[in-house]
This record gives sequence, structure tokens and C-alpha cells, in this order.
Amino acid sequence: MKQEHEGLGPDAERFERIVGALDRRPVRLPSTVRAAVMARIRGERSSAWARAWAWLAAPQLSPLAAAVALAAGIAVLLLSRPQTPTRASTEMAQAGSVTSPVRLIFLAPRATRVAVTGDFASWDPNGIPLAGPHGDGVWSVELQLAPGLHHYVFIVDGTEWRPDPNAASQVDDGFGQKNSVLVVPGPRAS
Amino acid sequence: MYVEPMSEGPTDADVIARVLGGDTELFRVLVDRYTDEFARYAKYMTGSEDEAADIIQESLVRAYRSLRRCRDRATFKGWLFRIVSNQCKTHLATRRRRPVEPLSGEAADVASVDDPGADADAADVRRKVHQALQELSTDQREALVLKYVEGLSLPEMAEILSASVSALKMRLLRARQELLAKLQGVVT
Repeated sequence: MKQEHEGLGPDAERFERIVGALDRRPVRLPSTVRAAVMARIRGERSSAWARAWAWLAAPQLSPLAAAVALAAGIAVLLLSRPQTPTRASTEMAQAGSVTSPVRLIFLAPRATRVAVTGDFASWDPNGIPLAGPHGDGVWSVELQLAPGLHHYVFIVDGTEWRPDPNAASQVDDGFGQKNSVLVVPGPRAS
Repeated sequence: MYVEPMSEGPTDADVIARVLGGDTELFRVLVDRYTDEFARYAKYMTGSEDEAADIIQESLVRAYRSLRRCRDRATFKGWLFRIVSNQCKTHLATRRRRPVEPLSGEAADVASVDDPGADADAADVRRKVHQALQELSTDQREALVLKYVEGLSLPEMAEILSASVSALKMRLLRARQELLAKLQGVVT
């Protein structure tokens, strides 16, 4: 271990004694910690069901809001350009939702398979497969995504999660890695 | 160290798959497996077992909420560690905004002195070493704890801290120098 104290010179032995004074015994937290974690998880699960039930049971729209929503829906139908769904887009698009086509490309010449996952795929670790590789190791996929902000990463060979170098921005995912950010505009008028 | 060890029972990846499939109660397996795993690290980082308990609890709940985002389920342990580490740093940053209090007896007790074989001088040195550790920057303390308490190698530290080995070498060197300076006259 002493060679790892390089740079300390004559203080290396003194540092050894400091290290020797560190307490390495395991710390046993009380069982109440485990119980509290499980109680919170159960509470979140039940409250999620309670919220869903309350949403289903409650009147959803006032007559005015319903009229506005109907008008908006008609406007979207008139303004949206028709799309030819791909396999991936079929997986992604939800019935009745407004989506826009997004093409993602990723350069990975040595990869045997590439997928993409993100909030639009519930962070499925299998992801949505990209087609390829095309020439020069380019992989691509077309998705139908709802307008708004999306976070995503590519999965190379099933294990390596990598942000998109072509993305407009990257954000910290809160767990020490980066997510790419994609902004999907609303459907264009034809 | 942060790759799932071979052990009896379902693997972390199996448990995660079943929890995500709806068997929420099975998350208890991961709770039992990892509650104490990072408790020592959190206790060193905060100087308090109570605060460490709060951080571990919050980290496990956050892990559950974000389980779908666990990228490599076979390395759930490393992923969870990053959550614990982030929670510790957030907690310490918030705590620093309060008036700085002198180290409490609780913090000094990080190195418990209830070892019947230890004499009073050794116990005093341990207390002062731990007090000096608490006075280091969060990053320096974390580097020393991972290296000399948790026994991680530099490549392991580099992976879980998302830092380069050379940067960590420099951080460790400065942390050692800081610690030595703070313990001048205490450890000779």
C-alpha cells in the first residue's frame, strides 16, 4: 500500500498510521430503515392506484373544456400531415395521440446491434432497435414522438448506454451519467 | 466490488425484472441486500449514523422509483451507489447552508470507541482522525473513504465516480496532504 502514498515522501509512514486509525467495521442500520423503505414504496403504489381511481371516478371535463378540447382535436386533424407508420413508430405511437416523425442516427461501426431507450420507451433496457449498420456504420430509426422534451440514450450491444453526440444538449441523469435531450415540435401544417 | 457478487438467491437483475413486472414486494430483497452495504460510506460522509440512515432510506426509495432507468441490471449495486453518493452530496450541500456547528459527539463517534482493547490514547487519535476527515472537502473525503475504508481500487473508483484515474490520483494526493496537515502533532 505504501507505493500508493507516492508524493508524501517522509510522511508516508505517518499516513499509514492515520489509515490504521480508520474504523472499517460494518455499520448495521436499524431494521426500521428497511421497514420504512418498504412502507414508502407500498404507499406510493397505493397512492398511484388511488390517484388513478380518483381520476377515473371524477368528472373529467366541464362542458366548456370539452368544447375547447373538441375544437383543438378537429384543428389537429386538419393541420396534421398524414404519416406512414414504421414498425418502430407503430410501437411508439399511441392511438389518438399527436406525434411527429423523428429520425435518430448513431455512428457505431463496431456495434453488432444498437437500440434507443428513453422516457418515450419507459426506459426499457432492451430499447427500440435501430436498423443498420448502413454504410460507414450508421444506424438509424424513425420514431413517432409526442411534441415536447424527451430524454434518451442509445444502447450499444445491449449493455453500453451512450448519449447521442448529435443531440442539441445533454443533461445529467442524476445517477452520474448523461442523457441526451430531444425537442419535438408540434405537427407542421400542410 | 461494485459488480453484483455471486450469492445465493435471485440475482439483482432477476429481482428487478420481477419488481418491474409488478411484484413490488420483492424489492425487499434488494433492500435487505443493500441497506447496510453503503451505510458505512454514508456514515463517514455525513459523520452521523442517523443521517446515514436517512440517506440510505431515501436512496433506496429513489432507486425503486427509477428502477426502469437502471441501465445495466447486473451492476445495480454500482448504480445504487451513485444514488447514495449523490444523496450524500446533496445532503451535505444543504447542511452547509445552515450555520456550521462544531463536530458533535455523534460525529466524533463515527469511530466508535467501544472497542474494549483500545486504550484512551488510541481512541483519542481515532476521534481526531475522523474529525479531520469531516473537515475535508466532500470530494476529498469521499476519495479517502472509498480508497482506505471501502478498499476500492483506482479503476473501480474511476468507474463509480465517473472520473479519470489520473484525476483521482491527484485528488487522493491532495486529500492525503490535507489530512496530514490537519493531524500535524496528533499523529507523529
